[in-house]
Amino acid sequence: MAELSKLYDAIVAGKLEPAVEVTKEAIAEGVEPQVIINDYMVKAMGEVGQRFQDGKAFVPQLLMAGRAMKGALELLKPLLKGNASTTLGKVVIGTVKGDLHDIGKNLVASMLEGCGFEVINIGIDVPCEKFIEAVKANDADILCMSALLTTTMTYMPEVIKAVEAAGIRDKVKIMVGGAPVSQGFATEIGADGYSDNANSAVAVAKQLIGVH
Amino acid sequence: MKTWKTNWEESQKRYLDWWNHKGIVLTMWEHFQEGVTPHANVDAPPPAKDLNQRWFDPEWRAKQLNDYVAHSSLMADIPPVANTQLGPGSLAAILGGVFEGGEDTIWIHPDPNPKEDILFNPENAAWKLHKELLTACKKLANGHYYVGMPDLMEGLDILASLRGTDTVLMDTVMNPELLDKQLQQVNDIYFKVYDELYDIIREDDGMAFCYFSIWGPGKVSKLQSDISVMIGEEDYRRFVQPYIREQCQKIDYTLYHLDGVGAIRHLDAILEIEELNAIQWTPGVGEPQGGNPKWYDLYKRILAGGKSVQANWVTLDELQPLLDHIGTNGLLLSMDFHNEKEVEQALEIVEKYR
Repeated sequence: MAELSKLYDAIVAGKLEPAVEVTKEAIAEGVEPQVIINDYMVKAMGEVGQRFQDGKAFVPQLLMAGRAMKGALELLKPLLKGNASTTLGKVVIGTVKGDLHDIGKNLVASMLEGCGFEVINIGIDVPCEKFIEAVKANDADILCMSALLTTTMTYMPEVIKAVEAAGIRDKVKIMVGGAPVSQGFATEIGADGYSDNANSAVAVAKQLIGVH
Repeated sequence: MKTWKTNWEESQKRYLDWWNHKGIVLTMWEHFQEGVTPHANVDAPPPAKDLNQRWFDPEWRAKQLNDYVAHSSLMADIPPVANTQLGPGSLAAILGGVFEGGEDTIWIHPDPNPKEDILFNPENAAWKLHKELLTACKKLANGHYYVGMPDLMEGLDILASLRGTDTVLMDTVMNPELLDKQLQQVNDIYFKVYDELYDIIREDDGMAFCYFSIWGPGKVSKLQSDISVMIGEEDYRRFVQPYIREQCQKIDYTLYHLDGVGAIRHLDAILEIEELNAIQWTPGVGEPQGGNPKWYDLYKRILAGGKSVQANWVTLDELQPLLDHIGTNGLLLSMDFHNEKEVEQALEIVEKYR
């Protein structure tokens, strides 16, 4: 019988192969994907996020955990299709136009995915129209924007205006983050949420869509 | 050297003292032009045709920098130096990264064909551009000012630029031996590149480094590991400290650029590098600048560790309290000057402590 506690341990330790092996065994034994995700994967990513926030783990450990989690999740994805309750919500995430930084954005994407969200990562240097297109195409619940430069964070309000102009502002919550971004800036530009790290981004995202 | 800076001899002595943990240097990063009487009548270039010319045309940039320095204030200890930046970490472009001229800076994209071995190619276009730019600038400078060393960067920051930050960070766990090898290759190439560029820009033995506008009577470099905010102390000691130490051993005057609150946890490891001369503190976005009392304890820790301090973007009202709390030995004050009146006011304060 698959020892699913080893899946938790493997993700926390950032080990891909054992995470994949245990997940394969669990699938073969007919364990519900929901159980694997919610009782082990989400909790493991939560633990890694907490260690990161406490200064006991660093970005390499977060990336390794995300890699192990994604490896296991790939096996479960075919079993989840068509089941609307399998994800907490859909998130479109990207770094705004003019900005090529991606590490913070990718960390947030990994944490959101690891904690049960479906994440559509549309990359860096993203213009308004691409954000809107991705939100519409995926019927996203949340749009996340990242910027690392004071010169590019000013593009965030333009995206929000474009979302309003596209008539979808009431359908999607907007979160912003990145080194120069603050809660004050987020409020000023009309974003719904702000986070200064990958761990708290998950809590903010859950709050925005009413999940606890 | 027949520099436009009239008090350069006096300032040089102050820089040398500062590298040796004595005295005060009063300067700024880059220059201001407001109300400055030009040092010479020089021909300004026509406006750049495009971003490509703005950044990558050696002759155009040499003329533009010549005009810039000719109209810049060189009061107090502001060094006569032309900023020849080719983007942050231009060594990455020399090693296969791809230049792109932006509105405000040069971006360096990752190597489209990353290799396991980091190799130097003398035919690389970015390498040729470095030499052509510095040579053109040196010719036009004609001894009136220094041609600064571009911000080459080193170590993990260069590997991240070449191969992507995620890849390099995961290699600290998955391929540490590969990282060890690549880091040594980057260092070996750094010295080769640095030495050749030094021979182009040196004035006697002295030179200036663009980043933070620092000068020294020998080889000078600003060193850093911005990526270190993402790694733990143990990894810093393995993947950063040995390579920075080697640079400090081979370069006469070294300044470590400590960037962001998250990097402070590595300060002990940085202070362990005996040959390092000084540490510059950049508080980062959302934090008060370098003259704020919040950083006094950090500066005291650096000074107690035997390194000089560079405090940046210090304002006039912060100057006297900073000197009162930090002392006057080994402090480079990089001020937030906008005009010569402000420089005179700062000089009045600083002179009382000299």
